[in-house]
Amino acid sequence: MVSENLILTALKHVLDPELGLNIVDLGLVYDVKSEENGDVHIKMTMTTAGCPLHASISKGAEEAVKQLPGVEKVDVELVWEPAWTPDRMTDWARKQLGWK
Amino acid sequence: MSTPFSGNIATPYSPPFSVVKQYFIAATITFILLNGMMLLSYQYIQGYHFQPRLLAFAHIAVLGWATMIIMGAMTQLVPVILETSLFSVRMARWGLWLFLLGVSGIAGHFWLFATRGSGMLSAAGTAYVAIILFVINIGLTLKKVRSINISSAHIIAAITYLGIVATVGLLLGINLGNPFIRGNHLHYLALHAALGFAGWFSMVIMGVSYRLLPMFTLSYSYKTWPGWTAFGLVNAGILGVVIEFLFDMPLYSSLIIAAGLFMFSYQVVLIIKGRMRKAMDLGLRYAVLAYGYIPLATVVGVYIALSHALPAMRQRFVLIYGFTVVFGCITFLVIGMMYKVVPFLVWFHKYSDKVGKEKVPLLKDMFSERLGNIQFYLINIGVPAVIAGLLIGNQIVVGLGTAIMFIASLLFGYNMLMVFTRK
Repeated sequence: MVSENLILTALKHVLDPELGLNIVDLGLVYDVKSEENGDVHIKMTMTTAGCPLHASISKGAEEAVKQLPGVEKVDVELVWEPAWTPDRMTDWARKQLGWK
Repeated sequence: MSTPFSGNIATPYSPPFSVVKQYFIAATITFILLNGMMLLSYQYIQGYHFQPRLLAFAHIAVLGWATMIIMGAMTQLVPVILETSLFSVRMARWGLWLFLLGVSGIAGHFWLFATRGSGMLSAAGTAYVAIILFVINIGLTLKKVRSINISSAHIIAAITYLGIVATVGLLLGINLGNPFIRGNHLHYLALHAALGFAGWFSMVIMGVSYRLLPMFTLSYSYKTWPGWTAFGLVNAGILGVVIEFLFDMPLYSSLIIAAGLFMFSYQVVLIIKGRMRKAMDLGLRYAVLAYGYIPLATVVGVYIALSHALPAMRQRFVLIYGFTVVFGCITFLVIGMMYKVVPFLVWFHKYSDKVGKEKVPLLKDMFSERLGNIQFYLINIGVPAVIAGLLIGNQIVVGLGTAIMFIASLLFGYNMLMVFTRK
């Protein structure tokens, strides 16, 4: 079974190309579940429902986690509830976007 | 709070990128040529507006640069916004070449003031066919949509105005060689320009802003009634101005258009105030500048419409108005949106399926931000310098301004080249 920390580390390599920030620090990853059989379930969102990058980013998350040894199958669930808010960002990410 | 104006740029509904790319490249080359020609002939940017070089500059700027880039952007965005496919990719593909041919012909004939022969008529006719093809293509794409939202309302209004402006333009072109319009040609030329600026361009600027600005600033929570109010006021004002124009009445309805444009500015302030992305990148700084020039152009426009200034002073303000609208409002917004949209489209086609598998560039890595910033500062000196030069009637200041603008246009061209040739 792959540790959830390792999965989050892999997801940190997936960047929003417009904002230049990774999806974990942006707070887009809501939940990560790793099963004994190597299956991984990721629940994530986008900054907006009309985000033009949602297909690339969710596919990118799947590809990044697939590369981890021991991972068999990755299922990315895109959810819009609860909606993303800037409160979900880490302090570092907030600073990058100009928040004091 | 009401529903925000959400956005998107590329989906399975997008037309082939090669088509849109050609519009963007052709318009960027035209923009550099325009700036170069203005530099070489800056002494003609003065006095009465109905003179060969100025008419050539005006048509290259509004057709070859602004309208061409808007045509490309609409060909990309309208199917995406409406979640339907473009009516005809072939019309979009051939329309560009017809438009280029027509606009080159119009500009060339104005430059030489060879407006009486069949050459000008053929050029105007070719450009007209291209514009009508575009209007039909977008119109029939819109026909597939069931409900009208703020974006589609602006697009419908914009292409309607474009069709009317082009028709008036064609009739004026015919009238130059074979006079048939009763009354003063210049009277109708003013109507042609006013409908182009207040109708076609303002509807596009407003509609595009409601779609793209919230997306790029991450602004989702704001009131939307000022946007709709602006739409109503600008269109009511245009109708009023046309009626007043035809009956030779004072153009008091220009005040209604102005009220609408100020309401638009208020909507923009609400969107920007509610943004989650506090830091402004290069593209957004250009857009904000454009929004700053809109109230300025509005005030000058109302002054021209209602004042009884002496002819010399009036001519000066007509030039300032035209220049401010084309370079302050339209060009700044177009450049800002190109710095956002073009890198995204190229990125989407080259790298979207590589995310997570290998390192892919960020959008801001697709061009030189440093050169973009230098361009930003230069154009911010060049455009106000030309406006100041026109205001005080000093040709040297106008010439210096156009020189700075030309350098800025080269930097912009280089940056776009970097994006399009990215490996």
